[in-house]
Amino acid sequence: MENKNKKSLLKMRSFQDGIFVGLCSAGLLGYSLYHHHFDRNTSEWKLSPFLFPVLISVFGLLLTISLIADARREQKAAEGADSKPAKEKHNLPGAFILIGASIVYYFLLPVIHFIPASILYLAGLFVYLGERKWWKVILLAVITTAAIFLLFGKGLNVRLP
Amino acid sequence: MNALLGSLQYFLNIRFILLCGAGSLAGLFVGSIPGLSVSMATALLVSITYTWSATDALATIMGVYVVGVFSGALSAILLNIPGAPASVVTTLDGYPLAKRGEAYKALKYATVYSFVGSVFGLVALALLAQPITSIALKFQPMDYFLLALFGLTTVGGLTSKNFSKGLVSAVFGLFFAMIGMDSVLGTPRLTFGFRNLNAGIPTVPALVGMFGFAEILSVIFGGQLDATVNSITHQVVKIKDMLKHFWVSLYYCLIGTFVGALPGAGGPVAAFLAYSQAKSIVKKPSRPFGEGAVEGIVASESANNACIGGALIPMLTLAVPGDAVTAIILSVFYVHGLQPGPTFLMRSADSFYAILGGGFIGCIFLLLLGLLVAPHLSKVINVPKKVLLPIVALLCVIGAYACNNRLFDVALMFFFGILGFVMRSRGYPVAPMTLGLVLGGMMDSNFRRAISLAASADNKVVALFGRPITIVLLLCTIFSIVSNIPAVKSFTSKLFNRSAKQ
Repeated sequence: MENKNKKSLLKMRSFQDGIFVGLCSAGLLGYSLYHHHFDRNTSEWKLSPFLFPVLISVFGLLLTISLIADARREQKAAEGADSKPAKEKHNLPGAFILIGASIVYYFLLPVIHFIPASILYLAGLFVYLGERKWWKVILLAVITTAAIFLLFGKGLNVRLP
Repeated sequence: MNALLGSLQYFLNIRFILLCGAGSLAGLFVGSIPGLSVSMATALLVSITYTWSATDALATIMGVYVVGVFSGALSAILLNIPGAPASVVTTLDGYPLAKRGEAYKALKYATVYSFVGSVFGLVALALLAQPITSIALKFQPMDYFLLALFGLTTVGGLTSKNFSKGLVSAVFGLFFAMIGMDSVLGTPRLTFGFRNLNAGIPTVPALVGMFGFAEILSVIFGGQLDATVNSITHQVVKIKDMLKHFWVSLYYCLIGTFVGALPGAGGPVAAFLAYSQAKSIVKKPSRPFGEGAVEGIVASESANNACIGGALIPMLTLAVPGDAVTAIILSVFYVHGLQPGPTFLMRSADSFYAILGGGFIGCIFLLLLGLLVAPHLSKVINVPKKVLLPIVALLCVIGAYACNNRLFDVALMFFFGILGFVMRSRGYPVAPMTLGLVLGGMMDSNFRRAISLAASADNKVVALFGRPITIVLLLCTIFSIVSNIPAVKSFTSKLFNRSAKQ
């Protein structure tokens, strides 16, 4: 009878990570060898700025093997397990919304400047995270931005974006 | 002894005391609110203190550091959520005590023994820095390289259940440290034509991203927006009862200082070790361990606070940080033109005294805030995350921008925040990446110097690894790697089990 818990190696996280680390390391190795070859400053490895990146890429390649071995071990352990581990609930869209809002804020900063952009950013996040009273959202966003502007910008002489 | 006397001058400096007090207050709030960490607060502070004098910056940061590590115990006791990783062990006995209505007692024990631990660690720093410096003066480039490598391998092994994942994180840190102009020949590396990357990845935006923005993303991703807090009612705790654990706490402090001085280890490891020692030493605890034994709180809090002084020893004498917070403090030093390392005590004795002075004054604030303010903090700890998180996100933006006044750093902060979040959600610790990023430049230059020096020698292997210090460091690094290989781990555990049965 086929084991229900059998999972393809390709679906194991450690295997996927191993492939990613392997590709990055191979890329770094190729980049370092190519640039060392065409570097006008030095032809010797002992002084080459690309010597240490080569060493890092070798570490990375060794870790690729280690991660793939981990994936094999995890696969065997999963096959031997009686039941599947329970899936935890996560709020991935929430994380994406924060990232999206931050990117919009980043591009708004040079256009409408710190205070208006920050009020919009804060108000948006307060609403998304569950604050339903509009007066509270506006009040919190305005007071927080003003307090930060006065404390950091004026009080501590920190340059604001 | 000179160092201890030198630090006393700061007890008469009102400005220094006020800044340290402000830092301590900030540390109390930041450390006690789950989701805000001492690393995050220190990273944000670095950017604010750019324009300050080094002494002012150190006073504030030491206040945050000392009180921030302690205040993780508040949420550990009241919410069963450690405010800092170092307070994980405090939850084991602190929370059961709070559930019995003895939160005040638990808080008092945590405060007093955090104070004892912090003072012990700082005295150890004052006494040991000079002897370690004299050893460090004999270090050659290869020794520095191996020391940093040892730090990365230990941090990789201790911060993650999976050694490979810890090392992958460290390797990524080293990779990011390679971006920018090479320090020896001035050749741009891995910049791919982006002029903004020529100066390298600035540490502060990267750290603010990894510890600040990533934390916010993790909290939203985990959906941990609500928690219930235990109430605190005042009760009498006899000083005599509290101080009867003093002598045994010195042993936990010793463990904490030693573990803190190991690169990569830190509060959580020290607290676990001290707790397991307490379980074997204390035969008759006030209650069984795990059910509200004050002895558990004493062990955890004295050990994790003693780590502060311990972690500063390698950072100041060898420029190798012991944990994430000291890695961030190291960047404060660079920002203010200070060079930690073997010559630090000779060249910047005043800064060393300022660190000690800030630490000791921070300890006094710890005691005052812990006994007087902390019992009233239960409402602050329960600040709704829906209000707190957006404000912290805005502070991260300001912190990242303030270091070079360029928007590119804000983009870098977002990038490292997202990277840190992805790494955490896939089980990769970010602390090794922090150390890799901070130590990468030093490792690169020392490795190349060592190779260049050995190239002209007749026997290159002896020239590289022939010195006693180098051999010891090489063996430590090899041991750190080999002992974490799964096959070796299972073999040794089988061996120990068999000998235990016999």
